[in-house]
Parts: sequence; C-alpha cells; structure tokens
Amino acid sequence: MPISESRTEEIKKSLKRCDDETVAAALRFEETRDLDELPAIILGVLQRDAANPPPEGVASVGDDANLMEVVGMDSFGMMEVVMTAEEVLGITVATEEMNGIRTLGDLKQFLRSKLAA
Amino acid sequence: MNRVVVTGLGFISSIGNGCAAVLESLREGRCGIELMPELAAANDRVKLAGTVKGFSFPSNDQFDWTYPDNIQLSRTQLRTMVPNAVFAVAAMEEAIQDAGLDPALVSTPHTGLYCASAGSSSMIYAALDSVLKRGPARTSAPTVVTGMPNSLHLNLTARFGIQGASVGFSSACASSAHALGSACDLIRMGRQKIMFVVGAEDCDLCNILPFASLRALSQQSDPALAPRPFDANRDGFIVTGGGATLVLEDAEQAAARGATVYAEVTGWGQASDGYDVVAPDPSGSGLARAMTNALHDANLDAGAVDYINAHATATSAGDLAELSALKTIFTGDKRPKVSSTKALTGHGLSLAGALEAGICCLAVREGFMPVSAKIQQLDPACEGVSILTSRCDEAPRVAMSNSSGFGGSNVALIFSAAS
Repeated sequence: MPISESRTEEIKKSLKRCDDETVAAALRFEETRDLDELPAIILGVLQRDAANPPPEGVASVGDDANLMEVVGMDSFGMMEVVMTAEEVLGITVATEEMNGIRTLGDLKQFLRSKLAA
Repeated sequence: MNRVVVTGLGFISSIGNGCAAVLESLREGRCGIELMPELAAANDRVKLAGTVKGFSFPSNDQFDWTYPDNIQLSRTQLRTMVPNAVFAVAAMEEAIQDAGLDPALVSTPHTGLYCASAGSSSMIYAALDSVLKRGPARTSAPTVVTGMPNSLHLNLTARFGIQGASVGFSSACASSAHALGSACDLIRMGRQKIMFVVGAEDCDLCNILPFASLRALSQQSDPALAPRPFDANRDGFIVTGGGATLVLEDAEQAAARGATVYAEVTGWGQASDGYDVVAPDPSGSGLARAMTNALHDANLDAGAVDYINAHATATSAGDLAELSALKTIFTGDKRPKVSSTKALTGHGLSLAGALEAGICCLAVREGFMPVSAKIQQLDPACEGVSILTSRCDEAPRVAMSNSSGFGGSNVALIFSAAS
C-alpha cells in the first residue's frame, strides 16, 4: 500500500539528519515490511546518534561491537535510537527490553524479532 | 580570612565576544543594541535587543545551531545544551585561558562554580509543549535537562568536570551578583581555592516578550535612543543575552602561581527591600543597605569609592530608587562617578551582575571609567550624583557594581585595585 504523505513526512522528521539512503530504506520498509531493510536503517540512525562514531562510519563496525565502547553510545543517545525506532518502525519498546541491548548484533536481532512477532 | 582576587575574565556579550572586544566597545562607547526583526514582527511593544553576534539558534534542535568554531561541544554535550549555556561555555573557555589555569586547576575538589541564569524559556516551552502534546514516548529524553531552570549549572559542571561547590542561583536580576558574593565567601572561608562565577541568558522572544507584557521595555526603534538610563526621557530597558565568567581565586594561590590580577574582591553586601514583588522601594532603602553592608565588609568609607557601575536599567522606578540610594550613602565631598553600562549592553537579567562585575574589573585594571551613554537630557533627579556623560580616563582604585532584582533583592560588589 502506498505511504501517505503525512506518514512520509513523519518518517523523514524522525530521521532528520540521517543520510538519504537511511530515509529511502525506511520508506521502502514502511511499504514492504521487508526485514532486510533493517540494517541500513539501524546503521543510519546510529551514525546520527552515536556520540563518537568511528571515522570510517558505523557501517564498518561488526555485529559483536559493544555500542557504548565502539561507537560511544551514551544513555541519551540510546534513548534517541530507541525512540526513532519506535517512530519509524511502528513498534513499542519496553525499558527492560532496552536494557538488554549491548552490541550492534543485539540491536539488530532485537528489532528483527520484535517486527517478526 | 583569605583574600580573593579576580584572575580571569570571559565575555560573550552584545558589545563583543572576548575581553579585548568588550574593552574596546567600553572605551569607544560602542553600543550592542540593534533592531531584532523577529522581535519587531512578533509584537508592537518592543523592537530592540542587545543581540549576541556570531551565534544562531534557529530551532530547539541543538544540531541546527551555529556558533564560533573555537567552541568545542561533543554530540553528547550538545544534546543537553541550552543557548545560554553555549554562551557560557565560550565565556568559560576564555576565562580559563585568561587566568592561565591548566586542567588540573579546573577539575579538582578545590575549584567550584557558582552560576546564574533564568533558564532557557524557549527550551522549557519546547520541552513542555512536546511532552504534553506529543506525549513522553515521543519526546526526546534530554528535554528533562534542557527544560530545567538550572540547565546552565548542569551543563557547565559536566562540561568542565567541576568537582568543588556548584550551585545555580536564582534571584532575578541580582542572581549572578549573589553568585559572585557567595563564591567570594567560600574562598574567604578557605573552602575553595578557585570559584568560577558565571552569568548567562538567552536572547530571544521567549525571554524578552514577558517583560513587554509588564510594560518595562523601551518601545524605541532607534538603538541610539534606548535604553537611556538617567535620561529625563528614558522609557524602559532593553534585554540582552550572552555569558560572562569571572575566575575568583585565593590571593595567595594566585600570587604563588604568578597569575595576573585584575582586581581584588574586597567586599560585598546584600539586602532586601521587603516592599513589593516587582517595584523597588522608591527610597532605595534596600540597595542603600546593600551598599552599606558592602562598604562595611570591605572596611572602606563611602568616600573611598571612585566608580559605581549602577544597576540603572532605564526604568523610571528603578533609576529613581537607585539615585535615592546613592544620595543616601554618598554624602561627603568626594563622591564616586557613576555610569550605567546597560545603555551600551542592554540589561542582561541574571547575567547582568557578572557582566558588570567583569566590566568593573576591566575598568580597574585598564584605568578608565566607562560612559553612561545616550543621555540627551540628564534627569534633574541626578543632581548631586556625578553621572559620567563621557568616558573618564582616571583609574578607579575602588569600583562598586550594583544589582537589583525583582522581589527587592539588592547586591553591591566592591572591586579594588590590586595592591
């Protein structure tokens, strides 16, 4: 089903300052619900919200990378990432669910299982 | 009791960013007031502001803000910032460098920070608007910090790793003068070796327009005509924002490390009117007692004061009350010269005390007394008070800075030439 203009604007607003590819992936996901779009969305949001992303970009980081140690994610940054995920992916994340996310792989797996449910 | 000296200054102000620019504007009588188009478009009561140049805050999203390249803020630090804290970070950086403080003297249990701001009204408004209309789930978590009245305090202590005493003061337009006096006491008592004293305010519609509701602001559109403290035709004040930082230091420590001293803080005093929520006691009795207390604290006679940087904002009630207070205290043959530098800077609200204390330190060290600008027709009520209608190139040995705030709180600070 085509995405409404207001929903498109909402997604773009949530992804303010993310690169074009992240926004495009999010819009495709909204239409197709294809879980393979998730990694691009996650990496784009992390690149925006990480306090200290590596110079070569968050995309260079492996799934076992600890988000706090490797990309400098702090508590406010993590809350921004989760709020963006809720807005863009249409999910609700409980505080206790957030607390279990340590690595990039954890985040990807968590969102994938949340959306598959 | 330990002696206290000022060893560093930092300014982000309408009349210049940095000590050198502020000093030049004071010497030249250069004014920082200008027409603020978005303000003029938003109402029909006030058009002018003491704008801060080199910064822009087009939205409440910190990542949209622009500020001079030398201000270093990480993503984490920027996320909780409010505009007045950005000004203050810049003023802090300058003051630290000016005082020659290495990082070990900044972040230590012996160094504290007292600061004052009314909070960022626009960020508070945005935080509440979001949490009430969009709900907590759709509101960024850092708005808890940006929406707090003491956001300046939270941001500065974290940004500079302050480990000693730290408090955010709130006593309206006397706030940062209270912060300075209280910081001075901590060093005198030996509880801290260095105290940063910071005043900072936003400069936007949200912190200006409420004063227009009160009919306290000048309606002029020509910056040459407002504000005009001590002028017979004054018609209200003009708001300014920015940040000012003073480094107060134990005199022995400053001498031991060979620091350059601007002035000694020889005394301060405070007193309250006990009169009205907004209006000053017309007799100026509260301010007169604050000045008396300061003189007593400094062990000085009234005749020793060479220069007074008046609170005078250019409201009739405030200027007349202060004139009355000055006439009560300074009755001898030798009376101080008086100016209100708010004619040049605008009124910095919680920032005013620190800004004008910094100006007094510059006056003492550089050997001049700044003009009380824009006076076309001196108010006859000034008779007996020596208002500086032009700059005076005599060096003040003792300078006093007055601050009065809503609620009738008054503070007088005394700075003496380093001995």
